[in-house]
Amino acid sequence: MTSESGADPTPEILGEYRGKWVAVLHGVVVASGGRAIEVLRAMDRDHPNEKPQIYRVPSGEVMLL
Amino acid sequence: MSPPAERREGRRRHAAHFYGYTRAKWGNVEDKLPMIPVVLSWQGRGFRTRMLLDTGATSTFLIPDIAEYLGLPVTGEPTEAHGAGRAFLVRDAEVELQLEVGHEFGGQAEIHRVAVKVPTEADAIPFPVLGRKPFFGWYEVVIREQSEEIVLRRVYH
Repeated sequence: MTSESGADPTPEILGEYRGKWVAVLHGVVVASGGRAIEVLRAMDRDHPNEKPQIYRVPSGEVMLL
Repeated sequence: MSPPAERREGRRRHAAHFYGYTRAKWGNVEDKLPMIPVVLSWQGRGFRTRMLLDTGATSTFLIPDIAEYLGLPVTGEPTEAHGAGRAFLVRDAEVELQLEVGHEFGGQAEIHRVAVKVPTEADAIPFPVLGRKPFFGWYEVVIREQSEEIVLRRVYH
């Protein structure tokens, strides 16, 4: 998936963050955490003028929502 | 029989084809999920994210962290939503949702005001979820698991 802030990190890099929330800017993970709100607040603090994509990385967990 | 030319053109003009999977790999394990890139916002505050496309979910769900960050007014008495494993309580909210693939439909991406459910527990669901209502009313959705492509075709009522 590509986006305004650049291409995805590779699956191998995202695998290092499985189950975590990440902020991706220009294809690079610039923040991560276990909770979305901590990543959102970190981006407001550290990159207030950027528009990263912030999402949770799949973790291989079995899901039936 | 093929449809009239103008209809074919119209359908092409209003369809977005994009790589719509988020993939992670560790060791010999790989996981991938169909996720739609969106902007979620409320009263000028917003961020870019990805929502799990869930054909089995009746509604659209946000996680409580997102509702808190955007300052969404969460209203109503808690009601039960039935997950596969257990029921959990949800309340009602609204959010502005803009697809990041919207330029493919021509012009600026549409911003929709969407009714969403917000669980009262932080970990009730792992992802924000684009469910059947209202998303599948706006778009005819094709999920191509093998090529990891998603096709959205705008439906005008």
